[in-house]
Amino acid sequence: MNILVFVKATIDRNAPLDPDETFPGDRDDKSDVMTNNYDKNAIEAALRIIEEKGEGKVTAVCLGSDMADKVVKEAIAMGCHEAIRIENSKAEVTHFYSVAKILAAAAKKVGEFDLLLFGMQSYDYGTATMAPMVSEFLDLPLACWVEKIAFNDGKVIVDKVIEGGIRKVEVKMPAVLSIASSGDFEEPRYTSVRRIMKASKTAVPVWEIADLGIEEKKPSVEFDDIEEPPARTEKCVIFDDGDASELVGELLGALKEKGLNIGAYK
Amino acid sequence: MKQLTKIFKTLNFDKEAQEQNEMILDMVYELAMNEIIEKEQDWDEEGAHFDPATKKVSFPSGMMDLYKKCQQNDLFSIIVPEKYDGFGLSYTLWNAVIELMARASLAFSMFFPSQGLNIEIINNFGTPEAKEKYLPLLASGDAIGAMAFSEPNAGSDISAVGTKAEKEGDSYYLTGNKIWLSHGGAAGTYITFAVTDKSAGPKGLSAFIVDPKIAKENMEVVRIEEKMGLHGSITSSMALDRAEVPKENLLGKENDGFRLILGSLASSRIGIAAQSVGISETALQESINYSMQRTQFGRPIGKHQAISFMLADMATKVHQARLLYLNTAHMKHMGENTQIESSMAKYWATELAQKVTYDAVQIHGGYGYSREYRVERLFRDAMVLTIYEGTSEMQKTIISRGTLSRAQK
Repeated sequence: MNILVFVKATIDRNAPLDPDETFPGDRDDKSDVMTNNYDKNAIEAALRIIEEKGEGKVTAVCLGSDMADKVVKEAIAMGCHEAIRIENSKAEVTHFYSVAKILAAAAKKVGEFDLLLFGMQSYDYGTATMAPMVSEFLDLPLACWVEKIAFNDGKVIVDKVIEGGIRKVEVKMPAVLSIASSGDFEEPRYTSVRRIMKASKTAVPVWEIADLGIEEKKPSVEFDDIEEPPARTEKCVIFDDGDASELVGELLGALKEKGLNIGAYK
Repeated sequence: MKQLTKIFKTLNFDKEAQEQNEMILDMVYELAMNEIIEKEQDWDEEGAHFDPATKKVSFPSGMMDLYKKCQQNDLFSIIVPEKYDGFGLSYTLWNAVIELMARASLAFSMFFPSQGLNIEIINNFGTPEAKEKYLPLLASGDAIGAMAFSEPNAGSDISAVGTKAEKEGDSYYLTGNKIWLSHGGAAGTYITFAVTDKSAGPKGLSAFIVDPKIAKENMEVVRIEEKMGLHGSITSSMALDRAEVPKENLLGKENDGFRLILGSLASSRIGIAAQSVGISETALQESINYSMQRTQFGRPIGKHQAISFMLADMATKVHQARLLYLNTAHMKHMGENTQIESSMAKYWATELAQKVTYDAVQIHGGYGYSREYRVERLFRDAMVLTIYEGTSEMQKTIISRGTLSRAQK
């Protein structure tokens, strides 16, 4: 069983936002970068499958600059056997569509695989489009938001989250799955000192986009600009000093004063 | 976390070691901040347990589950030599791990300094048999390491130990009472002292590894303490009644225990300094968050100069204490004698933790006095720091003696 897990370098949630950033994860300070937390659920799923089958290989694939080395090393330190980084140092490729083209081409270059796993979305842009696009480009079956995985006769049977419930789907392999952050893979494992020591000694091959045979680099959609929202000028008034019934009256009075239609209240 | 990794970048680790350090600290931070800190209040409220009928102790609910995660993540093996299933990594990293754990819960972080001291003492002074047997157990965390130094009449004056060790055949038999044992009753190894030559005073003390599996019912918990803080951690009194210790578990030479243990305590003092910085950092962060949320006189209290200057003082002190313990730990990693510097780090960081947690309570006003808020626990927990592992007064004694003797040379 050969599994590829696609991991993304995102900005650490505690790091300051940079509106001028052209590609997520492309920062000068490595400590600002972290593994997209949803991708850790996908890594967990891949590792569990291999552990249960007792054989196979998990390879983490990441598009990013050398800042993303931290992310591929973390994937190995979680238990992935190998990792590949696709160089994107000049932030040549920034749009989701083009990223998906590259990831699909990388999967093709790897050649033999049974499953391509993605996190259900990314922590930063959260478009949840990567798995569907890659499955389309490779013409492979797709199941999104997968909570549970079982195998039967060359097929993979998954529980996928749908609105208000779970749908069981059987797909042929090779297949593309996006893994939900709930269900069986809800708690991704930590790295461990032993695996970190191994990861720091593992050389990660770096592939060039140019070698992947992608013709189309131009994004179909471009970001015109990213700005911080204007500072809010409204003041927050808190009614918390006094009897609740009186406070409600004060609140409604203040809303009425602002010209809000509050129905029958006088 | 960034402050910590920034300091690591200034240390002389090679690129590979830097990368390992960063990844290990990231993992510990995640574990501490995602899981351990959530439980801290419950542990404080529930406390440790002791059943007088069975003489068994137990940790508060869920604590051992997280201890197991530390085991799975190989955290106890950091400073254990590779030969004994460890990774032989630096004391600098080890102490930074202690800081991160203490940020989440001082009670939980207690597992680390005593484990480190057990590992160090057994590695330095254990017989080959003891090293083979106990270091892998301590590295995996299958054995919790405990220290049994204090006795009812021997606190700061460790030389006043009354527990006696009688040699019969290939074993020693220890009889006496030990108090203030962190993890007493739950540990797998206990480093202790006992008198082997009554006429020789401190030079008649020997150090041993007491293994409860060998001592069996001749070693038992008498009670556990109800403390001001640190409720989640077990603090026991134990009685030894002819507890058997095989001769392979003698540390160093007979009658040389006092010198050997006293010299080793410097190491765990760095760990207490690291704990102090951890608890101070959390008090600081809680204060920053609160002072930006709490509005009085029309603006957040953090924007009033009185509070903002308090925060500036707290942040500066925490940074200073962090530099002090990391520098001392790194000196130790580089093979330097840190006897005086360890006491300086311990004295300074622990006193400061009390001041910082006190200020945190003050910033929180009435809420800081309420059990609902974390700073109340931090303040209670911090009170132990200037006491255990040698009081501030003992540290000053060590520092002044050391400094004076240096001056005379």
